[in-house]
Amino acid sequence: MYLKSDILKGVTSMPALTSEKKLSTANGIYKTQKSNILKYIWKKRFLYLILSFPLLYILIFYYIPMYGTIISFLNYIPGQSIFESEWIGFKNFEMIFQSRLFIGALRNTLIISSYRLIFSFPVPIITALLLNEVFNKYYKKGIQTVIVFPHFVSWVIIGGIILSFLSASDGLVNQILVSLGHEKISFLTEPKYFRLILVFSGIWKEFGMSSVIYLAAVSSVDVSLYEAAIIDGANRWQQTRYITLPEIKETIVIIFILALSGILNAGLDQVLVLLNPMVSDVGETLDTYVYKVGLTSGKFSLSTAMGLFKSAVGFFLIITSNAFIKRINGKSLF
Amino acid sequence: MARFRKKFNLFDIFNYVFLFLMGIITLYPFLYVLTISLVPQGVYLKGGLFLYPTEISLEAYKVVFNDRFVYSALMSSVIITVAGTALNLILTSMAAYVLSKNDLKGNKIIMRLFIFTMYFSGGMIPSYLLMNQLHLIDTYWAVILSGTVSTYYILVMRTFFANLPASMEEAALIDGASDITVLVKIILPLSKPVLAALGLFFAVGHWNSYFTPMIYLNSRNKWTLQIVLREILFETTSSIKGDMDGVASEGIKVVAPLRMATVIVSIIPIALVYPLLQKHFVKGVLIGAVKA
Repeated sequence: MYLKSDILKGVTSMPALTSEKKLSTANGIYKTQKSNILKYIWKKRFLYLILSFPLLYILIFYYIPMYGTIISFLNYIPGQSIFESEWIGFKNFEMIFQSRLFIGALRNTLIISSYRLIFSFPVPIITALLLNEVFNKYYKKGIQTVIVFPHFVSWVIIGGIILSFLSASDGLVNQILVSLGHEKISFLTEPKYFRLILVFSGIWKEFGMSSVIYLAAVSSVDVSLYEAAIIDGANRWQQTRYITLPEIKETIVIIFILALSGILNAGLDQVLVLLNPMVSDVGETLDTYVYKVGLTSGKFSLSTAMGLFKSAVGFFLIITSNAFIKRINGKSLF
Repeated sequence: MARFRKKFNLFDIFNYVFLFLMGIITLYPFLYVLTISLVPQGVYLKGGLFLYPTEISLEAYKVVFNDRFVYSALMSSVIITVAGTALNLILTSMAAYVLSKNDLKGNKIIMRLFIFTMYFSGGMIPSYLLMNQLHLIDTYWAVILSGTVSTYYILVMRTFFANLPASMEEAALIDGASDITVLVKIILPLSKPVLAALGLFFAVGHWNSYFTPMIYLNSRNKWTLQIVLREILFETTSSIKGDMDGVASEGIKVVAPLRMATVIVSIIPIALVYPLLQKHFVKGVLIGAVKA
């Protein structure tokens, strides 16, 4: 029985419609090929129509702004059209690299991201391994439900929670300090605490969700490997060390590489909520600085230059990490 | 699991306790915030509270619920979340469905166009300038239309569509159904799980977003809940009208119980939806994780 789709497949594989079509100067054959394409498009018109909407969306909202980064090479003055602005080449880029504040923001971004990689990367892995050792499935599920919850709460709310604990005037920690005879500490405005607050509140928010992802990887390890190990007399620690860890090593490496490629992202909502002038030396990140210079001060060309720098480096990083992952995995991530 | 022996040793005790502590560390901050929101201001100032309210007062909640500003912020958040999520789902599934048809000509090139947006973007300022050109600044549309189409989610949905059995589609096509009919009458009903899961992700994302509404919405009466919440938390006075001390005032000094009450009110929608999220989310994460 011939399915319509088989017939359709036959049609589309006709030489006239494939890219290896031989173009002939004889009008008759050429016309047939062109009208075959048009016929095809007409036949599939609904599909193309459906696709056109999201396609239009990304052309407008992704590709036009991409083109818009060109203003980083122009002296764009708000109110003017792009085409009227004068070309100043890399002048904006020279300026930003000479700017103490920009370099500071870049430095802060790298430091904060590095802290995150060092401190928050292991936590979900360890949690997943520990959860994996829990016999009781209700306890396991229960703990998971609890620790995943902060992932769904907004940074503004978490900012409020942080405030309730670390507020200079009446935060819980300061209440405890006072009762122990110490002076109050204004945690949120002290430069030496700010990055730690960022990193640890980040851990608190995300370790649960991340551990569920690792747990999925751990659970997908072949049970028969464990059974074989038990027969050979391995205890649980040995099982973990010689089976679980190597099996999930690939997953861990991939996630680590991806995290590394996102090193220029230090968290926008989180930092914006907590940032204040007293800690801007240590806390201003690339994103918040771009926002400050661009949307608060209106220096569009300059901040677009910063944004373009960030996007370009990010692009390079993700291409590189994709290449690494390809080598590990045998296939690309996307 | 077959790998476990039946005996429960010292490590297990440590493990259970440790994980329990993790749970406590996660939950306690919420409990503390709730406690503070339920006490009268005077009791709070005396200090010493840390586990439960010694004296319960709904004063702070009364102020929050009576405030017009909070309601308008809630409305804004709801509008943006509902409209945004709807558009997310519609456009994402449109792209995912067509792109799952590997034999459609031009799909490869168009797919590359989508994927490129994952690697590189125009950035904050050009996007803002675009919204300005479109005269969408200070409208809900600017927020709703930011991030409607995300290639990552298109890929997730596309995988799902590709794994649906082709036989139903083919049978329908033979019976003369158009592509649109196939999409609406067959594919979509079968896609309820992935639509529900992604819909929840999108909705939570919209509800919690702070930066995008903040830069696009200038009028105070359009501000979303997160924006208002941030103002209440980090400014000393705010637009909340009402009184905590029996004295009506235009912009009262915002005090801790009031702040925490607003926080709790903001958490409630998420908390209500959380059981649903749990169910669909874990499934969604597994789909995504398996991909990785």
